[in-house]
Amino acid sequence: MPVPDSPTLLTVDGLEVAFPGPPGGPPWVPVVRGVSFAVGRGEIVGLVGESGSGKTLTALAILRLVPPLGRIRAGRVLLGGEDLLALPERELRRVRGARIGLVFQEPGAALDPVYTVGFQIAEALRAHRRLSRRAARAEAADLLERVAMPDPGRRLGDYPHQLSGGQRQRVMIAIALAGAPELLIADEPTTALDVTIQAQILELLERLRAELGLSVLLITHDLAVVAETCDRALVMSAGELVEEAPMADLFARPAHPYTRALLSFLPALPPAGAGEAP
Amino acid sequence: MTPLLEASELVKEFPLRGAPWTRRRRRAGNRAVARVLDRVSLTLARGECLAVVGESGSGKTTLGRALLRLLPLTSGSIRFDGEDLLGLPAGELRRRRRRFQMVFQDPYGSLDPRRTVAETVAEPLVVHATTRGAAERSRRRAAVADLLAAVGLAAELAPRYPHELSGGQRQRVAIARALATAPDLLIADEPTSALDLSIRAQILDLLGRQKERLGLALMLIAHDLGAVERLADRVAVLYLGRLVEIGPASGLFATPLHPYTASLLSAVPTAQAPPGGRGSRRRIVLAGEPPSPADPPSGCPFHPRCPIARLRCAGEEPPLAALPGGGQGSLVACFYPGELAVHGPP
Repeated sequence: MPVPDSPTLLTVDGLEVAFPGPPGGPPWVPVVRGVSFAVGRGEIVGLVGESGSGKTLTALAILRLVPPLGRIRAGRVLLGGEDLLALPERELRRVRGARIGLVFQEPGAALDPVYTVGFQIAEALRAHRRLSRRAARAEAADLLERVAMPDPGRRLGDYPHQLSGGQRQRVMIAIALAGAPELLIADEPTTALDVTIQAQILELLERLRAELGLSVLLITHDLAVVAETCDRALVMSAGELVEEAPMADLFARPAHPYTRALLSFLPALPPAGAGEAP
Repeated sequence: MTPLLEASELVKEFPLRGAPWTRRRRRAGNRAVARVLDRVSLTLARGECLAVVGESGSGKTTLGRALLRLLPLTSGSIRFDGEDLLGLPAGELRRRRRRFQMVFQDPYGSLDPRRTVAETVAEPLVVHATTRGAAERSRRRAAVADLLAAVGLAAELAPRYPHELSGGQRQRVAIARALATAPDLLIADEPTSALDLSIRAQILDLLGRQKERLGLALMLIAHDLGAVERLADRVAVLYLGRLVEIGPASGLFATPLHPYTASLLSAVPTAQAPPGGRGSRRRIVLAGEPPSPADPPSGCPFHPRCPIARLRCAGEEPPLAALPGGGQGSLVACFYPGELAVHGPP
């Protein structure tokens, strides 16, 4: 049974994801190894790592969306006390989209080019609730307004190609919000965007957290994104969680050598006021 | 000393060829153009690294290509080592090309998949060879070995094909190829955007070392300031095809003068303290998205998104000029330079 007042929303415990190994070696090669962490209600947690560190696979495993051949070999994923890995597939459909929303990196590829964005948001709404088309469309406009889309009423009739990258990502977030989820998993939501648009999307995530009490698991390779937005960071390397720390500690006292290495790649800007004032 | 590269008042317009039934075509007829570079002037000295920073559509890639005459300009002039580059006939230009080379963003697309590493790196030497024969071929083999060593690639990789290499290794091959003719000028267009964070630092360090070793003039094109901090001596910031600020990197990073530069800087993380209220810098979130060069705003191109814009900004375009008294040696196109502070409480 879900525990509604628990401060912890999601608990991942000893998660292992493996793929079949090449012939001659061990049958399974683990790519996510013994990963355990928790996400609190209303908390924004960053999952940081480079390509191949296993961060996306960890997120997909939470929703049991590991790609074919891959297998979740061990662990538990507790959402409000319920183990998602033990649920039958049918039951899982009440979780996907409804309790956990997912936002992908490339909004151009995740949206269907032949349907208007209004249709696609309404489709997501109607998948979760009994709604008339008219009501779904009205709610789609509300959702677009919530994600700060300029001129939301008119954008409903637009096709994805008519929108900019930032606007498409807003549509993706609106679709993820359609099921009124408690947790939003955002996989590199700003990577394909320009820096000034990145800042807008991150601000949007923070605002949604404040307005809806949403928890966010933000997956990124970019420490800038984490530094801007997250309360806490998890650092992954080679399939393992190597560090977990509140944001301020991570920057001030990185414990793991890999984290220190990641930080050392950041530019060392001159301290405030070092330059000549104009 | 005269600069190696001197570009003045570069303008590049692309015709907008909408289909005949589109609104744009009907409204503007056939003369409609998008001005992608708008009177851009800059110089680059030997041994100097100039970073050109701008977002998608700012014209930074067009600028890099136009400077090397890889695409024709609408107007403007470029002098390379004192010589008018735009007036050179094609044959002369080809002979000159060994002196300026380019590294492209995508090392997956810029290498020929059917050529080995050694063949790719040797190609410029073949193209620009002045002699033929066995002696030349053995010289070339030695040169390729030296180049691979210089960019930190093991000699065993010489017979490999691009698909066998990692992204970072491919970009090293692209750099070796660009250095093969011992150029004076290297333009690197987002050389690290396609790479992982740890590999980015390695590639930037490699470019920096080659710059020092060969006394290269290096132009580094990037979409954010964080990528260029390591190397840049000077920084030029482009917005909608216009230069909005250009000046020494130290001054620009400490005290950005243009509000757009300030907002770009506020998006750069630092290792000392996380920005955004938890550190010393504030986060500046701009409203809206960059306008289209096909339909630029009146006055200052940045004013619709500018947090400190006033009435004057919509009516008049601020000229690119030095601050009264010279300031930090920067030029800035803003009526209210330095008013948007990056440092201080959020």
